[in-house]
Amino acid sequence: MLFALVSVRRVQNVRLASCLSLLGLMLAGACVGDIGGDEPTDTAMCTSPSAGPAPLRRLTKTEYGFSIEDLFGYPATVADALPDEQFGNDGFDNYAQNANIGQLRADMMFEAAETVADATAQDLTGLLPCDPTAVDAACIDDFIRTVGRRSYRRPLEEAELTILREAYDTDADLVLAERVANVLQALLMAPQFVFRPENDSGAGVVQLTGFELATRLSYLLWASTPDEVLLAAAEHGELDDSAGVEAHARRLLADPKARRGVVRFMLQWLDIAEYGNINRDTTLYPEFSTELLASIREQTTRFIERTVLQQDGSLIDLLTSREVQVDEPLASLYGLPYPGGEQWVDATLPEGERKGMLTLAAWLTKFGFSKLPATFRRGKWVRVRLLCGDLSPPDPDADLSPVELEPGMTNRQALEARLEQSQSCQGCHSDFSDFGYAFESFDSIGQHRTSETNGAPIDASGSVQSSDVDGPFSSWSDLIDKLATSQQVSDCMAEQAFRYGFGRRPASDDQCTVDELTDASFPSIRDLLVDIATSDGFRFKLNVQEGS
Amino acid sequence: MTIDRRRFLQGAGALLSLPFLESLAGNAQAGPGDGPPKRLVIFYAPQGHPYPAIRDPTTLAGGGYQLNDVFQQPVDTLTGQLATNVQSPSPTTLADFKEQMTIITGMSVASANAQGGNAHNLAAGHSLVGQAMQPMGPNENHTLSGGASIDDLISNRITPPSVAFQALHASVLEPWEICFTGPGEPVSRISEPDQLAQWLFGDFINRDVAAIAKRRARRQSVVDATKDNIAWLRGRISASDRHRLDAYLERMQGIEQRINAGIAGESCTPLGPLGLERSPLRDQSLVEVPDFDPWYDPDVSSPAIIDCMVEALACDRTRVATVTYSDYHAYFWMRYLNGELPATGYAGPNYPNAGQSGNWHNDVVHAFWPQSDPDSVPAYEQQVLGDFLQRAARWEMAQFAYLLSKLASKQEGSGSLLDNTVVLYLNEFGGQTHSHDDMMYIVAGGGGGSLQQGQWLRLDGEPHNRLLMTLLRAFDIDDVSTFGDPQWCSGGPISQMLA
Repeated sequence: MLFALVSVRRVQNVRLASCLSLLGLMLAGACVGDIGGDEPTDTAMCTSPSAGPAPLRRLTKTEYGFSIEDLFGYPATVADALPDEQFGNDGFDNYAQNANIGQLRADMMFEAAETVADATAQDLTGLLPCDPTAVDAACIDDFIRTVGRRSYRRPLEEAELTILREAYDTDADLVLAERVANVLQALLMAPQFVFRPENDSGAGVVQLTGFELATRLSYLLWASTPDEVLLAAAEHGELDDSAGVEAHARRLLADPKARRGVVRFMLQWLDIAEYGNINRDTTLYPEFSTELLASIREQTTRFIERTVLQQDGSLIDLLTSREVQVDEPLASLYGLPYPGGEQWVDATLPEGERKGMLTLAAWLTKFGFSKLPATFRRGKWVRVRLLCGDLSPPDPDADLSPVELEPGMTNRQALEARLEQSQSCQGCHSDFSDFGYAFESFDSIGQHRTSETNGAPIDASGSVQSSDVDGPFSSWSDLIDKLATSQQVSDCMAEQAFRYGFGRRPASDDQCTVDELTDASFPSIRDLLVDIATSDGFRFKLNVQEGS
Repeated sequence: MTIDRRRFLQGAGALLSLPFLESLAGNAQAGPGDGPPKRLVIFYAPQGHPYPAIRDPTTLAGGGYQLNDVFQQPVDTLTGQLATNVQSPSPTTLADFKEQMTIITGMSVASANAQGGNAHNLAAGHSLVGQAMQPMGPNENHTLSGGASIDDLISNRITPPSVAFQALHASVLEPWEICFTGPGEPVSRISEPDQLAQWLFGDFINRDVAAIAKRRARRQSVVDATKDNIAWLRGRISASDRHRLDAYLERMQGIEQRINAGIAGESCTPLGPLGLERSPLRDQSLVEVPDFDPWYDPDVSSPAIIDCMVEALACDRTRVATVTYSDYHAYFWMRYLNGELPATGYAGPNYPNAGQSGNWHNDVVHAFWPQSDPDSVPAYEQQVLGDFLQRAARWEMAQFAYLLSKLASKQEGSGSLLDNTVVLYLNEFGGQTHSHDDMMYIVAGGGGGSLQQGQWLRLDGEPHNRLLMTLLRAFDIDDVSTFGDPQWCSGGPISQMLA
């Protein structure tokens, strides 16, 4: 059920007729749903551990590369040949529903595994626990157990050892390095490595093993396989209670590898993880170039890394902080002084012109046409990703192209005129158009502006609807301030972290976990991720009764 | 940019010697008396057709028909370059294959019309599937295919385990999801010609027979271990997840097929490294993007990919090959503007989108057909934008002609590879903007004697499921009575097409 959470907590804002989806996708009546809400669930039902189902997940292309790098020191770029992941409708590439493996992916994994295995087996001295010139069966078993434990993220069972030993003992006329490479390739192809299987025996809510939790934790925060410290902690039972989990979650978050997981999560949420096919009319934007686009994207990456990982910031900080870094092209784009050189330097965004990630050029440029801003796509992002509302798709016949500006007319006026003629679009649009208008103060490459190129003055005012902070706003800045006081926005951030962490939307069985996650207001993002890691939903799972 | 690809094709070491190949033949070829196998090629192009002349019924009079000049673009049969760009010793045109193809006009993608939604998305999901798509989820105006595509069914029926690849899926520029192994499961495509050549023939290049045998044994042991691991794990995960492992097991069988398959064919000429270089497509309106590798120039990559496909078929590495050209934005065709599209100052009431998006889709196609009515296009746009569209269409048709010429150049028994192949040309749209009506299809090749050729059929308004069913019949798949949504299958296969 797509809106399980909404229906449990609160369904608000009924807009009938106008929002009926042509795909029959939406629940009757609701154009916008959200996770937010202040009505507590029946707390009695949350006294014993409660968790939702845990469908099988697969390592994403990125996770596959990082895992290989961490296991064997082979560059993660070996995964580049794998097909790209599909970004689902919630923007995350790690959803369990995408866990299928197509033929080309399997083939490319096989090739990559062979490449890594052959390269790794070049140096047997560092790899085998015995002298490579005096190898016996015990040595090989020891080797398989050791490398297998790292690859499968838990100790091997006897049957698994036997399977890998057979790959070593193959009848073919092979030298030692080739036999060792066979084992390594088999490890990297094993479903125990490629997927993230968890023990499904026993019905009802069961606690994860320490090893399973170590795996969840490291893929959540590092997008990669657990390190030896984490596996050892699992082995020693340190992950069996939430205090132990918290300690290790904080250790992982303090590690540079947290950048891989946490920044990637936020970039996907911001919708700028993929940054392809961005073109601009260079007669209008002569400063636009490949290099500028690279800088634009890197700036937001740096901003997230610094605000979240180094400064332990919250969503409020992400939305309102003016402390950023710039290089020369960006300093010029933002009208900031630059000391010279080729360095990224600390800078403070000009007051009254910008604050927070939604006023950085990356997000603004992502939602832009060749000449004009993609106003409604900006607004849709705010509604869908910041307020967790669901919108029905546009009419198939709706004109989604940029508008044509008559002299003296603003982009906003032209868009409003188009909407005026499209009765069926108006209902849903009233839930997000104004969010887009707020950012009319920024052009298609994120430059601050007070008027259109044709001189017409920008109007960035509007009003918030279908939220807990409804009411008028006068500017993008005013809107951001309102959103930064919204419990619904805070709760939505928690839901986004849930979606990324669990690889799915919350279901009704996740209610207690969601309640845990949403009882704070604007925790730091790191604390939110720790809350995810220590939640019942993360440490337990719901095993469904075997039907057949 | 024009690269003389003959240089690569003639390069020493790029080709393997035939005696060596014969030693690797395995059992890939059909047995004596069976004749060469049938193959399927699908060629999918974006953006509809700017040449209504092909649908002019007057040219049908007198029992014959004339081919529009878009079909007469010469292409060099050695390099796939437009013959106007090179000194071609042996040019050909699509019109040269008139007697080896059936042109079908007027059909509708009825299942797409019935569903409604984003037209590009519908075209991708319906063209080779012919049934309603399924929703993707909230906040998305895209949907997912409702079933497997026709190539999947055919390849499952005609591919013996001795053939390396169940199907070869390539793309020139951005991959396009038109082929599916099941509901919502698009196949991935290889966009890089060198990767494709390596993929098809790399196992045999610079390796002696003993090394190949040893490698096969090693790989087989890995596949065996993986299958054992899958079986072991399958009993330990919940029933609802087992289909993931079942699918993975099928992929292992695909890998097993690939690593053990041979290479054979009387006209087989395996391709070595092609040595192509990536080239950023850059002009005044196009900016190359970070984290986004520059694409190959399609003048180079398209013929190279066609070469790979044809050799894959000639060497019996696969019996089904598909290629798609760009996604619907078709950025690459912007180069046909040659800077002639003013970046600004081009606006007018009939083409409000011009110059806004930096892509062919919006700036040219929609500008040309602002009101979905080609007859309403004013003279200036007819002339200028229509010319851009014609250039793109000529290039596209030239590439299709190059494909046919390569297939025809491969001797098989008393005929050619083209005689044994069914080649389907299809386009995203019909004659007008976002239209699933008035489609033009070309079915070329003899299909091993199963197809009638040399005709133009007007099947106005007929659902295209009938064409897909005709393909099944061409591959002797007689036990499938409908394809896609049965309500669009009445009338059955197109009898005029079948021999």
